[in-house]
Amino acid sequence: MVNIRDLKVRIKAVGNIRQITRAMEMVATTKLRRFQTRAEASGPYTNEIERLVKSLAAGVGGGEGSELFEVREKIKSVGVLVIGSDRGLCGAYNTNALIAHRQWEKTQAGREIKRYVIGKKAMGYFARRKLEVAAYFDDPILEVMGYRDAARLSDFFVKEFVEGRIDEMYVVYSAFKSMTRYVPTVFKFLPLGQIEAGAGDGAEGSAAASEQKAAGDLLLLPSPEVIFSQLVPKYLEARMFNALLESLTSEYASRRVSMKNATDAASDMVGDLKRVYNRARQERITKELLEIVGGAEAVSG
Amino acid sequence: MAATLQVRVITPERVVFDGEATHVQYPGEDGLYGVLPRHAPMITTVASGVLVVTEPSGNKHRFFVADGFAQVVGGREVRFAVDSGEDEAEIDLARAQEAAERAKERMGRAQAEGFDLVRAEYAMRRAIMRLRTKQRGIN
Repeated sequence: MVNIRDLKVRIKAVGNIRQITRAMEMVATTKLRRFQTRAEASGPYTNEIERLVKSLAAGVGGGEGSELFEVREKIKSVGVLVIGSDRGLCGAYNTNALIAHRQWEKTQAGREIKRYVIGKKAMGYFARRKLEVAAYFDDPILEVMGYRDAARLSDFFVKEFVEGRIDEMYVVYSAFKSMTRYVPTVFKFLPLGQIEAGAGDGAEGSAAASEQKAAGDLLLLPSPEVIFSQLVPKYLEARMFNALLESLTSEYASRRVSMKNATDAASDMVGDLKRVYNRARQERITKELLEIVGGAEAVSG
Repeated sequence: MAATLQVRVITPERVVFDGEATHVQYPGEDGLYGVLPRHAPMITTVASGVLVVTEPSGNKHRFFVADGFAQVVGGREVRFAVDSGEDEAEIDLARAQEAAERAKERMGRAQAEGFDLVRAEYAMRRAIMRLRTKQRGIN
């Protein structure tokens, strides 16, 4: 027979866990909204910079920024930045990013891999597997990183690249597609591929093209080269910032879903346990009644 | 009614300003730029300093901006994509003052202790320009 007191304790314990997961779900929802707003707010800036790069790319080929476009003949070492989370309880968020990283690593046979890590959980993974990490960025933590921090990070990789310590740079992040879809994505950060002037589709493309047409009498001050050499790093910074924000948004979306699932599972469990408990209680009452009736009969009989 | 400019000030964190203007003055790397309606298409860099937007009402709206680009499109639109941008009213004087002092101290110690001198100088400039925007000093 099931122990009724044990059941009672378990019901209470699961109920407590449900309260906690529900609270965490609510916190995640609030934070998710905040980061999503931030990610959306950075959109106009990213668009603007991209538009500038595109409308300039055709006109100015040379300039100082051009080494960032150059594909190196011999690739000895590649850098990769893996963006994970600092806290757990966010479902398969970190696992998915790390799977994407592992698959990417398989394509890099024969090259030295320099890993750069954001997020305690991702760091823990590499430490457990005894994989060497070139740098771990934990100050400031991802959650409080602003544009300037992203810029600093981007500049750091540009420097590593320019000074020849890495020949290619990749970023593994979680692209935020929707509240329920976040796709671990690997993209090449450096060198920049060819940026097609006036590329893109629809209105954006034709707008860039018409701007391009006017480029003949477009004033570029102080000089095209200066603008270009400053614009390219900004472009990279914006991409970095975007990757960080999207990862963060994905993290909280993932956490919210997993906490919701945990809360639902706890509710189901409480329901099941209550049923077992009630049956056990009923059984005990019936048994006691029978005993009393039996006892009474024995006395009177 | 004379032609106006559509002005947008965009930072990575938000759109700081989006409105009409009859004149825009901003700090370029090589001096102040002034843009009137029907200006030729232009792209320039933006240094840190004071952006003054003259609204059709004649009201002068002041902003602090730092590091980025300005683009004049079709003689009727000016778009700023800058690292930071703040409305005059949003500037925290005490914080800017603090930043200026910190930068000054770092510049002093840059040589000896390996602080990044260039970064400190930029920080200094930003802080000073914030103060200027607020105090309505020299443009």
